[in-house]
Amino acid sequence: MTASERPLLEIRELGVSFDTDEGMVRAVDGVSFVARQGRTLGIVGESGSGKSVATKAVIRLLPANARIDPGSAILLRRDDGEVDIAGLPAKGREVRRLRGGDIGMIFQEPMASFSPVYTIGNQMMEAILEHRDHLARRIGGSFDRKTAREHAIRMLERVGMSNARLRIDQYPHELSGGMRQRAMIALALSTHPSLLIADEPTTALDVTIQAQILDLMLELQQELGMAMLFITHDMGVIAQIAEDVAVMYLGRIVERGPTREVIREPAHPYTRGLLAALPRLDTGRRRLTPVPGDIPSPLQRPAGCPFHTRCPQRMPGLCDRLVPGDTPLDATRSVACHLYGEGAP
Amino acid sequence: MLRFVVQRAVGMVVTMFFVSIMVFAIMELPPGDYADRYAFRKFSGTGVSVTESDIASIRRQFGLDRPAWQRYLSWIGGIVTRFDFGPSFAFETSANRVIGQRAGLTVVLLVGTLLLTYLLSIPIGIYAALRRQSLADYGLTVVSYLGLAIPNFMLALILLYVSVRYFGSTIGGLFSPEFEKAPWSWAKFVDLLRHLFVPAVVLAWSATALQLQTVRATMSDELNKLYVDAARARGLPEWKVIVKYPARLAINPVVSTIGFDVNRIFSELPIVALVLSLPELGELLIKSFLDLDMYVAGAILLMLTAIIVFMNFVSDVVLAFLDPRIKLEGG
Amino acid sequence: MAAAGLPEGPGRSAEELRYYTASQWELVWWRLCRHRAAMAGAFVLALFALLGIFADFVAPYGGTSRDRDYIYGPPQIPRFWDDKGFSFRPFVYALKTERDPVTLRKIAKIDTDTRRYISFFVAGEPYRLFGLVPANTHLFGVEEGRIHLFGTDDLGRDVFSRLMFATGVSLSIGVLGVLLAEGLALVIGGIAGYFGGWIDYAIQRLTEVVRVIPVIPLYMGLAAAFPREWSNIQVYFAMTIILGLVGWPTLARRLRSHLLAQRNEDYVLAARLAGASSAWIIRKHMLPSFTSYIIVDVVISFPYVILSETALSFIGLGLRPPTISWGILLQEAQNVRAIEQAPWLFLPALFVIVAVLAFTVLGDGLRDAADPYAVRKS
Repeated sequence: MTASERPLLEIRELGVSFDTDEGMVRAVDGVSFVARQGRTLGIVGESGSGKSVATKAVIRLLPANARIDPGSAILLRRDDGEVDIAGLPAKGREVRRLRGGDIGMIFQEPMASFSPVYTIGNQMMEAILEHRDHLARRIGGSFDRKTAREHAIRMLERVGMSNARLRIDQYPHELSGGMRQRAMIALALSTHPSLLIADEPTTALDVTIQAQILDLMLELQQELGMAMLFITHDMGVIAQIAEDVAVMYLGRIVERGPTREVIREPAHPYTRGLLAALPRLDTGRRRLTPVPGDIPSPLQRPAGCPFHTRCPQRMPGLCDRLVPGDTPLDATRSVACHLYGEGAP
Repeated sequence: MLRFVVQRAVGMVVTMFFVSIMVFAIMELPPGDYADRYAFRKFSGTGVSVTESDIASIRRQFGLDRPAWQRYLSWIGGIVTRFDFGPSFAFETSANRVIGQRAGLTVVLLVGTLLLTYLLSIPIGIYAALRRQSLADYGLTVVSYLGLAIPNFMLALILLYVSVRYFGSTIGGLFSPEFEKAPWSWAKFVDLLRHLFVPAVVLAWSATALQLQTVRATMSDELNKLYVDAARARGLPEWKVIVKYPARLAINPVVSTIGFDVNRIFSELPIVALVLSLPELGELLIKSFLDLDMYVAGAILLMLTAIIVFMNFVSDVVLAFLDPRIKLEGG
Repeated sequence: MAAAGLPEGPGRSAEELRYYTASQWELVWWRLCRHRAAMAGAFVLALFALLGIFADFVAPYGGTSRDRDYIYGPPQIPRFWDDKGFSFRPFVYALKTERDPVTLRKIAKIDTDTRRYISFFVAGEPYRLFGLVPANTHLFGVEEGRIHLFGTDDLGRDVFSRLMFATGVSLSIGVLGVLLAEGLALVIGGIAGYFGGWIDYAIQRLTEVVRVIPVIPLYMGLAAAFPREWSNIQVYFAMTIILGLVGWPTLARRLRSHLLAQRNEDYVLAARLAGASSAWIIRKHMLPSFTSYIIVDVVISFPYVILSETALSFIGLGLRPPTISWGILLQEAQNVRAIEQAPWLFLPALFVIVAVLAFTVLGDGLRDAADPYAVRKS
């Protein structure tokens, strides 16, 4: 593998449980994936699939009652070597340096991720100054209030915000939805992270703005050479932005591979169901075909394959007893389904 | 922002205008006037009977025979132009003189109580929100409830009793006997503080309890919001995440109720002052109503409400300053 | 995050069905019942209310009857056994008066040789239940002599009896005052919110003005001017009215803004689109959303009125003897002799504190129960 293809972030057997009043709830159950420099990995799944929890675990942004499995590994490659984030103390300095420095994160609700009582400039400069050492290493230069402000203005211009010099002193509620999202991206990218985690950033936007934001993110990714983890439930967005995709269901990855191939020839019944459920204008079909049933509560995980309760191709005796392992389909694809395993028909 | 302040200031003046009318109406409420009372006193005190014409002449002397609206206008005019609250019939001097010192005490106690309340309730409320369901949190809740439930006069009595019994000091009154007539000195000042401490604590306890619960509830709500997590995701140190972000918003409800707090304090002060033998406006108010010494009574009521209205104004302005979202909503 | 909705699977249990088909009020009630502190508060308040309403019956003596032999007498605590043996019926010791050799004052002493058994539903001083029905049965009493559960005061009056009457009076002032305030709030706030426009503006100004009045100084001033000829009943009502008249602004304001905001809510629009009439929308949709507000505000306002009355009567500006209220009882306790010699005279303070605590706790519980967004265990 060449340097640019070595994984920047490698997750191995990540497991996350929550200690609740109703017992231990398993949110992420043995998930492994990689993110590479300059490439985007899309993570698709319904609410309850564990996709948010898995990515939040990368920067240890989990609530106090979350427990990461001792065997999990979250490896980040940096200039000074490799660090296992899973092994770091959750409240320590290392983790804080990573957050917002090496790893940036943007959220679904841009209004909610800014504090309403400070200007966006204030919050941007705060982040820049907090990570001034990291920035110095990445792009050189030293940062004080003045240079931080200039840097912030440059970033706002870079994300296409008109009148950046004026807007930097405005409050979040004074900006429109699309502008707020751009501001949030500017904030996250102002520290030049090597990895960006995007947690459903376009879900709350209307379609035209969505397209603009996606284009922007692609441009910036190219320019900064970032790796990106893009979480969404929208297959259409994945098709536009992610080279690789991982499909999650109830805390496990059920299928992964290059996006084009997975969409063209979905292997796992769940993926097929998701794609079939997309409304299309080019066929004459009148009725929509959603995936039948509801996602089970994590408190009542089905035995065996988590999807078997809703799977049209389940094999009684096998799917309801044995958890399917990751079966490679070729060099780049794999699927977790008994249909492709040893007992395949 | 300036426009907002001006708007609010104008509103304050308008409110005060209506308040003054209402106060005047209240002054007019009790039947009879000073002339009647004076006659009654004279008669019951000295046995000298007072004739109708005597009463009438007294009335004329004090201008009490003019129609209501004329008296109102001259009263208001005097206040606004010369800060003169009118004459005190009973004390035969100006109302300003009569009220002066006691008003000072009221204001001092008000400021002291407010300071104590906010300095205590905000940090403790934030702390309680961070440590929910902990022992300290429950303890604080119990103390808060007690503060709200124990009548303030009882609390004053208890503290008075405790300090007499266990500290052997006489906390009642404004000064200890030895300092009463003495000229001002540092020691006298310290003595004053010691005496003001108990009423301030009594008044502050229930106010603190209320604000503490409010801060705690607001803080808990804010802690769960996304922007707090987002701030953490930016790698900010935990203390900054707490103090700069949710704490700042938790203060809002406290600021917005400053006027209400002042109102409450003014309501509780007379009783506590009576129990602790502090020379305060409440006593004077009672006396002036008994004597129908109208200008004094009116002046006291007007002053108290003016302070409350002003504090409402302050609270509005500070709130708008703290929370930029408010300005846009307008009146 | 699991998907919302009814749990899958055949045959839900009867209990689950009840839960999912319960009306809003039933849900609130159930949640409230689980809040133990609030339930305790409600129980205490119900108890106080009963004691107050049936004070004539519960109290062994009238509010003003005096026992000249037992002045400043300590409480007599009912016992079930002593060195003479066990007894099923509770009893107290008889009292006898002696002269203190030093001060020559009469002092009540407990005679541990004579037992007075307590009987229930005894005949005692006559009274009129609710002021109408003549009766003379009391809840408990002793056949000979007198029983003073909470001791007596400086005039030999039974503290327990007076406390029962005081409870009734103080609570009733609370009820009336709050009713008046809430009623005004509903009307004024409702009009402002419903009509909007300049009516709303005018009412807003009025609310501002009333809101800034400090209640007790105002009351103190007016009370000093009450004509001496006024009967106690008149003073009682005047006090209630004044306290109530100043209490409406907070709720009225909240109601008004609630109404104005709700008008624009999507669910109102949806109901209108579905063809609902204004009356229906108001009754079925908007009213329930602020009824819980009203209930909570009522429960929270109570302590304020009660504390005000207590404080004012305490300093002598409120109700006057022979009316009995908590404040008046405390006023009589307020002298140095009492603190040292007869601390039981402060028992009314305990009642006040417990009542206010009960209201506060109940109010908190109601607020939590009515709030659909409150975080709860499953």
